[in-house]
Amino acid sequence: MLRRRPKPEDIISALYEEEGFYEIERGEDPESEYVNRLILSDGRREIIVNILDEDIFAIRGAIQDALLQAEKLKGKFDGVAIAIPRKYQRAVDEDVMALHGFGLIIYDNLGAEEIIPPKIREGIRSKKEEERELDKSRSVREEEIIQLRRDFSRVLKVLEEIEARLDRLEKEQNKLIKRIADVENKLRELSKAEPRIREEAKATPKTISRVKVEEGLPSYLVDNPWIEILSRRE
Amino acid sequence: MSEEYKREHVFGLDYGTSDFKFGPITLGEVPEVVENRGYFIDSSSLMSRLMGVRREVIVGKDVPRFLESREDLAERMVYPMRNGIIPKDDAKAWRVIKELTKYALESFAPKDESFQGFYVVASISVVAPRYMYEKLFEIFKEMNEEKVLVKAATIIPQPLAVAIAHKIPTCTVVESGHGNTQVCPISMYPIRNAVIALNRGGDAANILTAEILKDAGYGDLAKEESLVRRVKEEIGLLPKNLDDAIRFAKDNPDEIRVSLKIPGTRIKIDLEDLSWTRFLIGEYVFNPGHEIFQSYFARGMPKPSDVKIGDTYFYGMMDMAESIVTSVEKCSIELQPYLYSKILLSGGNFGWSVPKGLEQVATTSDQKLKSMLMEKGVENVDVVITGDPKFSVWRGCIVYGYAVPVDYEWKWEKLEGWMNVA
Repeated sequence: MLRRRPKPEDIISALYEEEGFYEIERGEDPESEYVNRLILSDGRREIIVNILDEDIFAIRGAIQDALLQAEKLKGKFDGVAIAIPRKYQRAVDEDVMALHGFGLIIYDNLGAEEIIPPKIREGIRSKKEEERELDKSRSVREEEIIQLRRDFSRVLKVLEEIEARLDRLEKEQNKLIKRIADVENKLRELSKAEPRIREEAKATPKTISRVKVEEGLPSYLVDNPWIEILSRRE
Repeated sequence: MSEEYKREHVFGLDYGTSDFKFGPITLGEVPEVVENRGYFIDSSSLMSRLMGVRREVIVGKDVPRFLESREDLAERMVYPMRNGIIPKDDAKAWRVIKELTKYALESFAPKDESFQGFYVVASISVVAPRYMYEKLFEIFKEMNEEKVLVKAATIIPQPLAVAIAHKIPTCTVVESGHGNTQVCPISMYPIRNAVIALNRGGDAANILTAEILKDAGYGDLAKEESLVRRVKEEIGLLPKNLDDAIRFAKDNPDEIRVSLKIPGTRIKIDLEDLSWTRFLIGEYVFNPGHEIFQSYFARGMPKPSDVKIGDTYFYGMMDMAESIVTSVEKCSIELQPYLYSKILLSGGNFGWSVPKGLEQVATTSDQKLKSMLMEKGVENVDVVITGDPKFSVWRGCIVYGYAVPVDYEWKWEKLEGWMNVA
């Protein structure tokens, strides 16, 4: 089975796919009988490639027609390129093409090559976008602005309240941290004192039978609120 | 000196009217106990020469070994804290206090070189005058003459120690010892301006018991104080209502009759038809103003009188509930409900029990006081008898010494802090 021979549109489309463009339209140019066209986009910009085949070079005036048609397209698209068969590359002056902002692509059966990239007219797009933004902002009504301001001031107020609450919480948290640290210190001191009391109880024969060391500190010392009260005497 | 050293070397001294409780924190729950007394021996006697005694005063557990005849006892035995206050010029009493203090500290002083003296917390009556504080500090300084036994000392009132031992910061403490009763409201500090002191304690009940023994034919035994005390503790009863109890006793003589055998002797006491008088002993502690006691006063029994010692009035005949109300009402109105809501009864004078079969007429100290206060219109009262009342004060001393910072110096205006004596 014979493989289908790729069309020039396929070859050029593949070239631009590598640069992030995708094909959105292909076909004959309705305004020129000699040219096929390929429209590509990367989502932001649209370029059009006018593809001239080998036959066109045999027709008198066809090249001039193709170039004039291409000139017209500059206003509609962000970039315009002309694609010609590789073997006719010398028939076109690259400098003149670049001067007029046309891209130049040469192609054959093996592939396509971008000799001059088309001049992209960013201004057109950004202007359009600006207009769109302007339209959008115009569509926001004054009442909405007032309402938004009110909402904004309310949000600010709530934020201030939250800030004050956070301050208070932070203060309380600091107090709690201090108290926990105090309690931990006391616990450490108590746990330090406990083994010493045990040790001394062992060392003093009189006390051996008296201290229930295995039960820890004497009951009247454990959880006694007076320890906290008296330790604050100064 | 470090806080840690102090905590390990806290030493409690409770100069009770009857017993002297002492010991370091390492004793745990229970201190050493000896009677708060000293025996001045006759240095010329054969006995002291035979035993090679060089000391003038004997204190502690050795005292019974040196006792001589009964007649000598009254003359030579000194109970220095009988009414909680030692007169300034009572040299013998102060001598006994010094000997007891030395006895206590030397019993527990560690031998190792790291020992640099105890942090002593002594407890005395809340109505003790300033000179007693001064005298005690002087004694603590004298303890260090041969070897440093006391690094620093402090003195606290007994009711405060009781409140501390029972972990209650706001309460009214009623401490009734041998010679007197102190009612002291406490709210973090003892409220000294509201203290009420009664010129009676366990000794008043002893005197009545001696009279009862005399009436029952045991006049010779009534002279022996320790025996009288034992009789009081063994057969004395606290009535719910004295009139009802006497009626019950007279209607049911067999239920109320009891005989007491003194172990190791031939002595057996039986009040027989005077057994109803058992109720008088307890009632007298709480309400000596009952008319039934008039007959005893008329027959010569000393009546507890109002006396002034130092700046303090000791009321003789004020009943127990009245003394609490008077004391609490000297405090701010806002504080009064809290003071009534926790009344702590401490001291051996509140140890009345209810024998089986007499629940109808006999009661305990807390219930008695509660009903007396209710009669006076005081509501929401919670009266609690302290557990181990004998040791509460000593335990409070230990907690106090353990908690009060080592750098908190003694302040005469507050009567608080550590006095460095080493």
